[in-house]
Amino acid sequence: MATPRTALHPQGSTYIPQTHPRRAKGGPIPWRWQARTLRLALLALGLASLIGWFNLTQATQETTTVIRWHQLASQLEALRRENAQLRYEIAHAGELAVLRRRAGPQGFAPPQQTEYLFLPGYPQGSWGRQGLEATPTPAPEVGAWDRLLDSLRLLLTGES
Amino acid sequence: MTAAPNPGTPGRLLVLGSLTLGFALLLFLRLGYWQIVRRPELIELGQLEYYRERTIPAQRGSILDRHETLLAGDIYAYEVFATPRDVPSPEWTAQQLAPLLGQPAGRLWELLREEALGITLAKGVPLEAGDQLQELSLPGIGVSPLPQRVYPQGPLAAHLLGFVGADGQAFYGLEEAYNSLLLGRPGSRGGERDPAGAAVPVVYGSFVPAADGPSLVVSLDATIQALVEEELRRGLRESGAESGTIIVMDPRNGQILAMASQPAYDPNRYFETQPHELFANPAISQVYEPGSVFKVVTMAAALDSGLVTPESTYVDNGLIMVGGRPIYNWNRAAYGQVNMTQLLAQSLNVGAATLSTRMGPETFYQYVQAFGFGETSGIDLAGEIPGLLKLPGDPSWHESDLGTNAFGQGIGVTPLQMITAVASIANGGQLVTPQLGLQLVTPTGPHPIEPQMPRRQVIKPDTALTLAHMLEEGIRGETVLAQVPGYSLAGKTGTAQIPIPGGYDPIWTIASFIGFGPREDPQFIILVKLDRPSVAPWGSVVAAPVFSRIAQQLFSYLGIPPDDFRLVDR
Repeated sequence: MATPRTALHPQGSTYIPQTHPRRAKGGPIPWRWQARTLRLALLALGLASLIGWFNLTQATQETTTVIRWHQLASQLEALRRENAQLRYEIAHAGELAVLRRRAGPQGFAPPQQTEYLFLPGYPQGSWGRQGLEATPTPAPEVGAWDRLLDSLRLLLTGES
Repeated sequence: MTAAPNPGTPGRLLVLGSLTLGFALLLFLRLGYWQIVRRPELIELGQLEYYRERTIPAQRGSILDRHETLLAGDIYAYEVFATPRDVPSPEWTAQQLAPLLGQPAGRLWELLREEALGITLAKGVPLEAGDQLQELSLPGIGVSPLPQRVYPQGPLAAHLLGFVGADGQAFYGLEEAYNSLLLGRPGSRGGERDPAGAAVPVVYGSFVPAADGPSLVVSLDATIQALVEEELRRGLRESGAESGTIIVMDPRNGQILAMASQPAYDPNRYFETQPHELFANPAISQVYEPGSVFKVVTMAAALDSGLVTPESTYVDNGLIMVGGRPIYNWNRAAYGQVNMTQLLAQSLNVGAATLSTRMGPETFYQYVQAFGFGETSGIDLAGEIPGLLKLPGDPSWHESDLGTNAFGQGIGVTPLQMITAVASIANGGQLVTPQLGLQLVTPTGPHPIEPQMPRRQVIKPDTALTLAHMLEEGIRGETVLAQVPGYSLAGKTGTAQIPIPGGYDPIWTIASFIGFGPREDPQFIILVKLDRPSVAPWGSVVAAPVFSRIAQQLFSYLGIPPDDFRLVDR
């Protein structure tokens, strides 16, 4: 059975079925065009996924950091309060009346008469001055407090 | 039949199109107005809904004694507040709050049912309870930590420290004098909040840490201060005096080691103190006529100007007329020929007036002013007054003042002025500026505080040494109650009458004693002043023993051995 002729070339020599996609002269082959679209779509999807992944990672890290930042700021404030309270309690415990109350039962009493002994070679000529010297204030050490502040500063400035 | 063409259609379309376009334009313009013109304002309004900024109060700088004992500092207490509309179950919430706030649940329940937007449930909630409350995270309940000024040593050195009111304002003493330095700078913490006010930790907020005020280290020694206050209370009790003041100073540099006055108050409970006059520090803000203690100044002037030497004599007839006014000795007796050391030891008014009149007003008052009388001493405390000094040429000055001023009458001084003047005898003739602040400690380290006024030489070192010997003789010979066995001390008693309108009080006196030790290397100078003693009016009887007891304890506390141990040549 002969294939029905649906169209003839103007010269009538070549058979071109009408149902076959026609390629424009010099243009891409249609299925190749579809493959390229598909690749582009896949690339776009991949890129979008990458951006999404990057964005989510970034957002997660930022949120984690901010939560940590909030915790550190709260911890800093709580430590300041606790520190102040402890200083107060220490000062109260060191009050002369409190010390006397505690020292009495342990057998301590204010000296009624002090006796001095000669010690050969003991430096002479600066009696009493030591008692009046103010306690020298040392330069502050980098302690837990400062480390906490530094952590906060680093978080705020983004330095590491 | 075909329909006739509608001639109005294009016109209606045009109108409709124009209207639509116009409407779209209006919408566009309105949108631009809100989005561009009003943008900043709307952003601000929006932020108000979800963005909250909380102030972090700065800690006020602490005040520490010379050995860094805390005298004044901040602790925190919580203020607990509620937003009743956000409290889902007032009854349950009240039950949770009651044990922590120490209040009946019924009362809290009633408060939480109120229609108010926000209410304060409690103030001054202790740190521990506040922390527990925070952990509970009760809906609609908030806590805010607030600094609270406390004085852990109670009434110790109250007049020196002053106090800070509930509104953060500082009054009196070091608190007021160093207020601007101690304040610090508040910080802030901002961020997004949910409708209940809780922080939403998904974006960065703002955080400016509070910069706490620097700590102030003062020259005060808390132990010496406590001993002095104890002795002052005992002195008042034993002498029957109404009030009193004691100052202990290091004469070498003017640093105040102790400064106590009674009656005092507790700065932790300043709001209960009545009358408010108790807040003022009598050591710097009350004048008194110093009486015979002032003869030290007169004698210093006479010796330094070359008018007399310790061996110079005069004939004491028991009376001298100055400016038409008779001046007698304290016992109205005549002592005959006496030298300058005896004049001081027996505290002869006639002798002092003789010296001032021989010096003449110009020289005498020149020295009086050089010793710092009539001006503030420059101490770093709020509320100091300059005293009362009448000078020749002043309308209120009379020629007789030259005679009476010589033995401390008709002149008003503060206890601090008096001790500063006599300290210059102890330190080789230099008038030092009394000082309390030693250093400010900031996070970068300690920063020394310089005295407000430089020291100045008021008498020659030789004069100071000579006078110190004379004062030592005075104690040894006449003021037995001021002595400390084994130690050489120098000092002078004072018994001053109290001026009242129209003359002097016939009964009451101000008894005082001022002395320093050890004489050859003075390390402390003590002024004791007792007002209106009822047991005896004399400084040598009521004030001298107080001086002696304090000096004895200071020798022990400062580790100063007795003379025969200290001065022995090994």
